[in-house]
Formats: sequence, C-alpha cells, structure tokens
Amino acid sequence: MAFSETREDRNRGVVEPRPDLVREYKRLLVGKWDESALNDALALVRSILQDARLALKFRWESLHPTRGRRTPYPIPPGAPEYLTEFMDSLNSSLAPELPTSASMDDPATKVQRQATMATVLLTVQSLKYPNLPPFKIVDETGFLRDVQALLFNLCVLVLLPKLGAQDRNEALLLRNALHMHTVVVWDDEPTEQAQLRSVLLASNGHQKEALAWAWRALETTPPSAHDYMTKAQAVWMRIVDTQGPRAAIPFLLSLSRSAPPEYLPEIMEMAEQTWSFEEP
Amino acid sequence: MAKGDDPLHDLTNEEKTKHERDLRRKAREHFRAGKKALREQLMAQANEISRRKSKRAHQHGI
Repeated sequence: MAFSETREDRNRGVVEPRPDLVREYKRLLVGKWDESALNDALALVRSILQDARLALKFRWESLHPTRGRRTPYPIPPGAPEYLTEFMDSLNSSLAPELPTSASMDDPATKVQRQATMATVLLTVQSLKYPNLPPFKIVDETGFLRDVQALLFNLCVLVLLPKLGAQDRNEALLLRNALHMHTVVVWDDEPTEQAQLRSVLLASNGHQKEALAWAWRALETTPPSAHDYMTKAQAVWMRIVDTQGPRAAIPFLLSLSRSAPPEYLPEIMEMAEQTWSFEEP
Repeated sequence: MAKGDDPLHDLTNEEKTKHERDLRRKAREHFRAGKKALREQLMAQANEISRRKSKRAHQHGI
C-alpha cells in the first residue's frame, strides 16, 4: 500500500469537506448499517484522503486484472487528422497492462481486504511513508475523523463478526488499529473516545470494562446535549448485563432527576422493562 | 448555534430526534428479546447520529 505521488502540493493533508461527500456521510449515518454501508464508508474515507492529495492505493488493486488498466481515450468518428494524431500519441504513452498475479502476502479474500483497508484508513493520521515528505493532516472541521468514527463502528459491528479463524491475522491487526484510533484520533475529545472504547470492548466480551467506558461517556456529556439520553440508555443496558436488573433501578432514579423532562416517558419505559426482567 | 446544528456536516436537531428516538425504541425491543448484537448496533448508530460532531481544529503530524 502506498500514497500515490502526485504533484508537489502545499495543501497536501488539508481536509476540506466537499458537499457531495458530506451528503454521502449523512446518508450512511442514518441508513442501514450493513456490509454495503461498510464498503461505502471505506470508499468515503478514501475519497476524503484523495481530496487532501493523499490518494491511497492498495497493492492488490494494482495487481487485479480488471483494475489499474487504463482505457485508451476514444477517438470520435470523423475526427480531423490533427486530433486523431494527438489522441493516438496520448494513447501510445499509456502505461502497459499490469501483471495479473498477486503475491502471497496479499489478503486472499474480500473480507481480509476489507479488514486490511480499514486498518490503514483508521490509523492514517499516524502512518509514515518514505515516498512522501513530512506533512500534517489538517482536519479543521473534523470531517475526516467523524467519517472514521462511522467506519470504526461499522468495523466493530459488521466486519469483525465476519472474520473467522482463517482471518486471525487480519482480525488482530484490525482490533489493534481500532484501539489505536481511539488513542490517536480522539485524544482531545474524551466523550467520543470513551464511547468508541465501550463499543469495542463490548465486542471483545469485556462487559465490565464496556460499562466503565460507557459511564465515562455519559459523565462527560451534559444533560442538555442531544446524545445524553442515548448514552444513558447504553449505560442502563450495560448495568443490567453485568450487574442484573435490580442494580439498574438506582441509576434510573438518578437519571429521572438529571435528564430533561421530555425524556421522562422513555425513562419510565426503561423502569418498567427493568422490573419485567425481575419477574419469574 | 443551537445544539447539533453544525452547518458543516452534522445533522439538524430535527433529523437527529427523528432517527435516534426510533433507534433507541428498537434497541429496547431487541434488549427485551435478548438480541444483543442488534441492540449494540442500533445503540451505536443512535449515538453517532445524535452526538455533536467534531468542530475543533485537529492536526496530526506524519
């Protein structure tokens, strides 16, 4: 995998959200989170990086028989001689077709390639490449890392469950990349850092630790924030998971005092559901 | 600026409310039914939709 060397550019690394990419992000955010969304999120991160003059190319893409082969420019019928000669000269300078065989080091399956690609795209802020001079990723609006957070969730919830015993290396690398992403990219935003860690730890079966990080995410979210109730519900579920329904009652009582009144009906529903878990 | 009304790439409050309440309700149903994977997915999605998106400058050296 390598960054494509393009022209010398002082804007390399500067992320500027393009309206069509923002629309795509919003579409993925509210759409169904499935494999199609995972593939689209991978492509979206790559498009953002490409706009920032950091186009990524994975080795298997160059080796694929149907990719990396550039199509000759079509010469319009009846084109004048000077144009035909010009187009011929352009076409003759195209690179030769690339080899079709892949090395043994390349990921063998689609799911392995998705995992490898995600591993790179989630850690791109801390990667170094010898073919490029030092540069910074400048993500002033946070668009890149917000799309990465979407990709993070899709990796944990859609991709990791698909990785089997034969994909152990890819799974290990991806899990490390997911953890590293929370450390490197969200160090200045503890709420989202805690939220992502909670999701990742729960997927590993570390339920107590997942509850601790869900608590941290809730504690750093003001009750007036839009995501307060969602984070509170996540804590409630994790308390029931790890400590049983009875332990969730004090939490719900406390929540009924701290949450805005508009959420009281939902808190009542949660309380009723908690009691129903207690019934024999 | 009202909470959640990021003109750059965040959803509006109305869009957030519309989606997140529905996702939370479905997650509670899956919780009741013991479908943990589905519940986790819906809760994570509700959180990503409703949280305020990044705004501060964020730079990483390479």
